[in-house]
Amino acid sequence: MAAKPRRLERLALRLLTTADTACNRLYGSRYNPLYQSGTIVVALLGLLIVTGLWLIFFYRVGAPYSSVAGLASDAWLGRWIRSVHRYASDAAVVFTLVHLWRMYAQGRSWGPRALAWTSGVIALGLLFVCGLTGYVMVWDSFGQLVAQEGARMLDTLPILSEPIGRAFTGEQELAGAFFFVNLFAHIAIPLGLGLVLWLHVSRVARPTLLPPRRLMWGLVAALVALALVRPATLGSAATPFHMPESVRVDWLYAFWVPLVRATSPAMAFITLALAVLLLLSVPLLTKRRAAAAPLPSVVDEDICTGCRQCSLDCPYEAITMIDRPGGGRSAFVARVDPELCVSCGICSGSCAPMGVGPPGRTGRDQLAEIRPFIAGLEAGRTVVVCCDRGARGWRESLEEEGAVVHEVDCAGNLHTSVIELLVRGGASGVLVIGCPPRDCWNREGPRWLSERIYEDREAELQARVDRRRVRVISANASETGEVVAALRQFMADTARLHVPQADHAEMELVCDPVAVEES
Amino acid sequence: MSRALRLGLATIMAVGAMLALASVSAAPFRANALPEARLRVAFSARPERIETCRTPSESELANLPAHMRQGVVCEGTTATYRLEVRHDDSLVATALLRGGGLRHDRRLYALRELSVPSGHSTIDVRLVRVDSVVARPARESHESDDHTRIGEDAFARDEDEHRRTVADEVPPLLTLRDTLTLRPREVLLVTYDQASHRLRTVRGAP
Repeated sequence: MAAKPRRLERLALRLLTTADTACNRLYGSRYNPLYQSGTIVVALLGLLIVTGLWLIFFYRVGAPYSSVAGLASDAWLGRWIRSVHRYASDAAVVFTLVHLWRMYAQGRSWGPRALAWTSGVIALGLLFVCGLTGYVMVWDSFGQLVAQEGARMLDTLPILSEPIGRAFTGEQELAGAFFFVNLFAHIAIPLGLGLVLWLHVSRVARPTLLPPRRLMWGLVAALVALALVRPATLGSAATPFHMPESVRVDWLYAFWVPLVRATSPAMAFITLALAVLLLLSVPLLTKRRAAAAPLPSVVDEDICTGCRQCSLDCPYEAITMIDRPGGGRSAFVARVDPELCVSCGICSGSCAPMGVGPPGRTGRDQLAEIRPFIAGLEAGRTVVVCCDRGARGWRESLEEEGAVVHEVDCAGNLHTSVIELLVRGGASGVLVIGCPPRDCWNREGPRWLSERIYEDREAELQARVDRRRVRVISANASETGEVVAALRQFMADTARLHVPQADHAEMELVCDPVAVEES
Repeated sequence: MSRALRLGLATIMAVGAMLALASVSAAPFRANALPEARLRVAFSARPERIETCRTPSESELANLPAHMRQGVVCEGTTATYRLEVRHDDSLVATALLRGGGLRHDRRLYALRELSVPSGHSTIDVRLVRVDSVVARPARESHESDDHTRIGEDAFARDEDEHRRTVADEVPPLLTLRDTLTLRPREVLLVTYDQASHRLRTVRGAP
C-alpha cells in the first residue's frame, strides 16, 4: 500500500483540494496556478534576474536612496520595472509557500524526497534573505526598519564584540562599503539559490522548470499591469534621527518585525529559529516507519526482459539498467535503488511482462486483485478505475450513476492488462480517472498512462481492445460534478455499442526479450 | 458555468489576487505610534588599561628569540565604567561597561535606546570609572645592551605607543548635561567625541 496521509496532512490536503477545485473551475487544470507553483517560482526568479539586471545599471552604492528615487520618478524606464521586480519577489514567496504546502499535504516530504524538501526550505530562506537585502538597498524608512530590527535580532547572538546595530545609530554616516556589501549579497545569493534549486530537482527525472507559456506570460502581464496601476511605494529617506510614525511594510518579507517589537529580539530570534528547525525537521516528523512505510520497487529478474522501459518511465531515476549477472534471457536487467525509490509504482504500469513494482502492487498483483472483482462483475456495467484519494470524494456519486468503482493506489500505476481484462470480463466500458497531470503525486503517472492507452507507449493497451470502451480523464478529489458528468457521457457513448460478451480466455503474460542497443 | 462567466470570474480572481499582493507588499505599519522621543546613547571608547609593567631581566631576554625581546613587559586588564542616564533628573538607565572581547581588552561600547517623553527635557549622562585599582606606571629608563640588543629606538617606540594608547583612553569621568526640547519621534543621540574626549549630543535637522 502507498503511504497514508496523517491527520494534519489530511487537513492540509482538504484545504488544498478545495483551492485546487476552485482554480480548476476558473483556469482549467492545465493553467491552474496552484498546480504550477514550483515552476512559477522558477519563472519569477527569471523575471527577477531580468528586471534586476536592468535596475543595477541605475543603482549607486554611494547614493542609494537618491538613485532609487530617481528610478521611481522615471515612469518609462524605472518605476514600472522596479515595481515588477518587487511584486515578482512577493509572488515568488507566495508561490513557494503554496508549493511547500502542496508537498506537505501530499506527504511528499520524507524518504528520498527529503533532499528536495530540505533544499526547498533552504531556497525559501535564501529568497527571504535576498529580498531583505533588496529592501535595505533602497535605504528608505522600510529598509532602515528592516536593517535596524534585523541587527537587533542578530545582536542577540554573542558572536561579535560590538553589536551590528551600532552601524545604524547615526554616530557615523553609513559607509558606501555597507551598501556595496549589501548589493554584493543581493547579487550573490541568487547564484547560491540557483545551486540549491539544481539540488532541489536533482533527484527527479525530466524536471519541469517552467509553467505552460500562456500561464507564464499571463502572470508576467498581470505583474506588469499591477506595476503600472499600483507602482511600488518608496518610503521617506532613511535617517537615524527621526522615527516615522507609520512605515509601509512588505509583510511577506518583514512578517517578523512586529514580533521583534512586541516581544524582544532574543524571543523573536528563538521563535524564528524554532520555525526554521521545525520546517527542516518535517522529513523526520512525516517519515513513515515500519509497516506504514511503503516498500521500494523490486525487480523479478526472471521476468525482466531488459527492455529499459521502467528505467525510462521512473520519475525519480531510481531504476538503472545493469549487465545481467551471469547472462541469461537478456543482456541487461533492471535494478532499483531503494534509496531513490519513493514507491510510486509507476514502474508497475510500465513493465509489459509485469516484472517490476512495489511488493503487492506489480502488474501481476493488480491482475490477481482484479480477477475476483471481475468474477463478481455484472456484465454490461461500467467500471470506474480511480485512485483511493479521488474515490473518497466520488465513490457514492459514481455508484448512484450505476458504475462499479475499482480503487487503485494510483491510476498511473495501472497496468493496461487490467483494463483489457475488465473489458474482456464483460464491462461495457472502463473509465480511468487520474489526477490532473500537474497534480500527480507521482509526477508522471497520468502522462504515461495516457500514452500507454492512446499512443502505444511500451506496455501499451493491446490493439485488440476496443478503444471506444476505454476512456481516461483527469479530475481532482473535489470535482465530483465534473466526474459524474464525464461518467454520464461515457456511459451514453458506450450504450450505443453492442452488449459485450465476457471472454474468459487466459491472457498471455510472458514477453519475449526485446533487443536493446547498448547506447 | 458558461465560458463568459468563467472568464469573468477568472479575471476578477486574477485582479483580486494581484491587488492583494500589492496590498500585502506595502501595508501600513504603525512602527512608532506613540509621540515619544528616543534617547539613544551610542558610543565606543578605549577603556583605561590597568596593567603592571616590569623590565625583564637580562637572562630572561637572553632566553627569548631576538624578535620577541621587549624592554618592558606589561600584563593587566581594562577598567570598568558605570553609565548612568537621567532624564529630568530621574535615573532611566544604568549599566556597567567593560572592554569588549573575551579578555575585555578591546574597546568598550554603549548602545542604549530609551523612550522619553517629547518636549522640554533635561538630559544627564555620566560615565564614571568604577575600579579602585590604578595602573602602575613602572616604565623606567632603559639602557641599551649589546648582548640582548634592545636598543634605545625600540624602547622609544614602545613608549610612544604607550603614550598614544593612554591618550586615546576615555577619561575617568565623562558628564553631559543638556536641556533641550525634543520633538515627537525625534532621536537624540548621545555619543562620545574621541578627539575632544567629551560626550556630545547629535540631532537631526528639524
